[in-house]
Amino acid sequence: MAPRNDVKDGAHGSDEPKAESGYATLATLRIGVKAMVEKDGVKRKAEILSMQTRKGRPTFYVHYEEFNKRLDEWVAAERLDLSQEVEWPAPDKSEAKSKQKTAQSKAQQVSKAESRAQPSRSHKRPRSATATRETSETPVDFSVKPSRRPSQQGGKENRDPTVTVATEDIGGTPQPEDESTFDLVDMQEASIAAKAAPNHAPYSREEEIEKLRTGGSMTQNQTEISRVRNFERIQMGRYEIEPWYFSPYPAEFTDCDLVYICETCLCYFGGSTQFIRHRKKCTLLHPPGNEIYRDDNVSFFEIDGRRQRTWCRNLCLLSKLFLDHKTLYYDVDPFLFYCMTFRSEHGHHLVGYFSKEKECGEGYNVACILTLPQHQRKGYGKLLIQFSYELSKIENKLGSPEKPLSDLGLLGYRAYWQEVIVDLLVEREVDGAPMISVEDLGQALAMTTNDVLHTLQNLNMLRYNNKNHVIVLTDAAIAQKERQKAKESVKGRRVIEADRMSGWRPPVFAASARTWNW
Amino acid sequence: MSTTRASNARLVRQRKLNTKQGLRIIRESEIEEQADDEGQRHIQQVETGVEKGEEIEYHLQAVINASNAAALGAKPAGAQSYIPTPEASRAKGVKYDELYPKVFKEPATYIRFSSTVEDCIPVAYCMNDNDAAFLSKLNDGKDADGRDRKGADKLSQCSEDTFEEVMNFFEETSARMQPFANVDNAPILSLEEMEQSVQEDDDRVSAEAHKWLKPVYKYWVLRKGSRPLMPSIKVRVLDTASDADDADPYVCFRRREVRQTRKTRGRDAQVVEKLKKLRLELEQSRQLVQLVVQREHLNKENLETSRKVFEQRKQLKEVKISKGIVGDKGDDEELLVNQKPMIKIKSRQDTAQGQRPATIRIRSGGDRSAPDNDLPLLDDFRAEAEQFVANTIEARKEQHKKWNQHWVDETKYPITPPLEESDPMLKWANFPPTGLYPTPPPSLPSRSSQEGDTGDVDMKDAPPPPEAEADAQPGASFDEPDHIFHMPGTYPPSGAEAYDAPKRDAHPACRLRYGRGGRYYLESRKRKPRGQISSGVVSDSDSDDDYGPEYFPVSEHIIFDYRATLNSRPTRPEGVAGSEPRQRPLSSGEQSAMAGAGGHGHPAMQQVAAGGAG
Repeated sequence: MAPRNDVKDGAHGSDEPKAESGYATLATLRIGVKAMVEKDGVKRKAEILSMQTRKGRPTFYVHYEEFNKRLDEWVAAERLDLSQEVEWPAPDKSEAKSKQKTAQSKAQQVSKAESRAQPSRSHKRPRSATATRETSETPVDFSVKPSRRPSQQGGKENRDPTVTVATEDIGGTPQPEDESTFDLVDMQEASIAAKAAPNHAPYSREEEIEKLRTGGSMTQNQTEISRVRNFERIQMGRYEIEPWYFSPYPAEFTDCDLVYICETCLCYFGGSTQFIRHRKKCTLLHPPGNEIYRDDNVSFFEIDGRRQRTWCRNLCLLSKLFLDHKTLYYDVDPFLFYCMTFRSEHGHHLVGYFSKEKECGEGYNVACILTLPQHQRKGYGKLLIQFSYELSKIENKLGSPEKPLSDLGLLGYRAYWQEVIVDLLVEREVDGAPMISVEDLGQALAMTTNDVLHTLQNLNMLRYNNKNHVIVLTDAAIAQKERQKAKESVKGRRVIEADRMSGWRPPVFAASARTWNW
Repeated sequence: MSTTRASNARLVRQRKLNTKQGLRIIRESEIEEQADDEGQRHIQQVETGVEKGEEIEYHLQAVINASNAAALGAKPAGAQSYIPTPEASRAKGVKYDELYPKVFKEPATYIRFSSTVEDCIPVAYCMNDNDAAFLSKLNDGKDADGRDRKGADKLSQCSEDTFEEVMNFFEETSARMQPFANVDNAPILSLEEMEQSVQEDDDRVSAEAHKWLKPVYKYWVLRKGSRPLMPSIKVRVLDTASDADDADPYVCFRRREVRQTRKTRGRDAQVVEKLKKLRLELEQSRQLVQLVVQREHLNKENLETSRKVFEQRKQLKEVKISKGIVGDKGDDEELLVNQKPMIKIKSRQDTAQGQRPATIRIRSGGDRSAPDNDLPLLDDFRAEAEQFVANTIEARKEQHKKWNQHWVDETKYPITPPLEESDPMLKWANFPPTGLYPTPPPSLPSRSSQEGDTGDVDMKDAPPPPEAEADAQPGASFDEPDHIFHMPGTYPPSGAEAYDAPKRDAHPACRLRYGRGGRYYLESRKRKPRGQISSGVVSDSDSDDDYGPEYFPVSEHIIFDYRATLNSRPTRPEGVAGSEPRQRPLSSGEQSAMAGAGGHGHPAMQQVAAGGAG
């Protein structure tokens, strides 16, 4: 890992201040230091985000570089390899150089004090996982620190030399040839233009909040990206789950070893006595909304954030534990929540949900989507995604999930897109009408043209043959379809049966219900 | 490498992809091998939609690379790569069936549900371990600080539910009364304030919980901090513009500002309309209120007047006593109080004023509200009344004779009017009885006599030609109420008089008499000669201007048709009917007869009638 960083630093040229490195002892470690930490038998570079003394021994909350934040964890001092050099955090630009040395010793005391009052001070800490990563990868952003975030979308980014360097470094796989990129960029730009591409320029925190306020978006709040997880474990239903990210549950719970979450009303409790008492009184047996779909396996409930504010807030708090790019900055009013459950004699058990803006300017059909960790890897995610597209079909709209996607979200969507597109193409082929345009594909599947293109390109199915573009049903895609079929024949096929939700009509909201204030 | 790329670019300059154009679906085997095959040997770097910072994450890249490799035809490498996530496992020792009892029955139809979480949890407060410890102490008769509680025996055991209800009440009340307690460090509410709050709203606490307010209060105060006991999320309470809480990660679910709607002319117009409507409705409600106020003022005035009346009577009574005037038994009481028996007296008075007994029934309602006459002498009235009745009957007889002396009833087959036809009569009978109403309506010559107010005795000329009636129809329907509610003593518009006057000069050859029960009688003048008309009339509407109406013999079936139309058209236009009676030349005899009858004419006539009676 370290050499890779060196390469990058080299590539970025001299404007990035070289990270100061040197040997450290346990006593001199402080927040922001990057040290080698053992993870699953491998030593990885990790940044210390927080420090605590537990049972008289220092523990460190570390973020492994190039690992998702959900793998951040508390480690004992033994796992830190201090035999190697550590990187000291780069000084803030605002700080005068002269202060640097004194600051270093002071920071030690401060950080110790801070570590006790962890939740309240986290916003003061400018050094955050993401911010640090940003600075190391996009040097231009360095001076602005956490109020910047890298631009995320748009064909132009593909030509950004620094990004290209970075991907080549990391991927280690053959990179796209320039000339083919050129054409694809064209293609993408064409399709993006049709979609009214949002402004990709990096924006400040103020602008971002403004965007949240006016855009109704539910993702991404910079200040919340870099939090240290506040819960160790939660208990929900039969399961005990390790949260992945910070969620703004009441600060009182930070001390709790285990937070209890009621499976039906999603209320949260710090102690088992309270939770048991609550369960004696709670009469809710299913999500508090209208069931709009039911098949042998699952049900879907439609819940209006405005009418079920408490429940939807609870749901958002819960899902924030597992969604990094979700913001709870603003209230749940402008959203509908589609909750998937399975049934038992105990009632309905929440499996996952997706939220959707009542009125989305960008045409997104999903804002946040989550399968609860205890139910992941069972194919529920695909059902959720399929359901969101079934809704779009009834609405007669093309839908796309709100960006940015998480890593798991991307994979989930890619798998779904691949499956439905390949299925449709095979069907067309069998029908003997092997011609279809990209837009027709999108229409048939309620997918945006961009997403269709994305999938086709990604599967290498869009090719140039005999001076014409063609869609190639690649052997790999067919093989994947066969594997999927084999799997389904064993486990049973789970799909959303569209005719079971024929009664559903897109909810219509009066102007007063659409406004966002209370 | 760079040279190859360049040459490739030259060789296969691809056309732009048209997303609308149909693309052929082919299998991999069908692709013709091309020189630039190499260029298709990798996956385009497509926009993933994942944050750049995360896109490069190790595990994601591993998965993407694996799938890219697969798409390029590589054999999937043994173990599938995946993104590791923190653990989610079955919890040990969870008594799931106890926590979540098996009570769910799946309904046959889709669930529809709108209760909120708050609805489903009756009491939000849940006991923790400390509470449980305190509660067991409390039930042992100990206080919050461990001392024996006075009067503990009187109270039975406090159940967990009751305890929670009490705590919940304290929490809710303090949150309600001091919403900003965590900001301004308000003092904790005293027990008295709590009790007061209970009294304000009885539903807040059950009777059982009320008993326990006091014992639990001490404990609650001990536990109470600035934050609620049940941890709650931080929502911005104060709607400040400050960014103080912007950086606080625990503050969530802020309210959004309203999205500005675009201003358009259409929306402006809508808004204006709404404002107008609002203004109108407000104005109407204001008027309503004003009228209510007016009514109440009148009521008050009425009360005051009644009181005055009472006091005056009292005075009168005292005068009577001091002067030694002795009235009938119970007279004094009647003087003082408007008792029910008074009504009886009133009706007797009415009779005395010359009413036929039959009309009293109709009248009595109105009389009750009539102002009281002081000290009427009953006997005088009785005598007067009898006299009056006798006179009236005589006068009536005369009158009838006079009316009919030149007329003969030619009605062949009297038609009883249809049911509706009797309506005007009934309405007429209910005519506001303020004035004197000496008789039930005598045979009315026509409806026009009702409509006019020269008296209830009137005659009418030949019926107007059907065409005229037809022409006038539209106006008739809405004119009618005017006459029904026409108040005696008012005159019809006088402007019409001059115009219609000439018509009156003609001596009609026949008349339509409007008899009891709404019957019409067609009568012809006895002395009118020579059978110009024997069975009916039809006259041109234009001929109204002619002095002498022309009569034409008509066949009988036309007459019946005509009569049928009469029945089906009960009303006549005001323009003609209303003014008619006044212009008709009345003989002086008739006039006096009318006066004698004292019909519902104008006040002058009434006076004459009354005077005559008196």
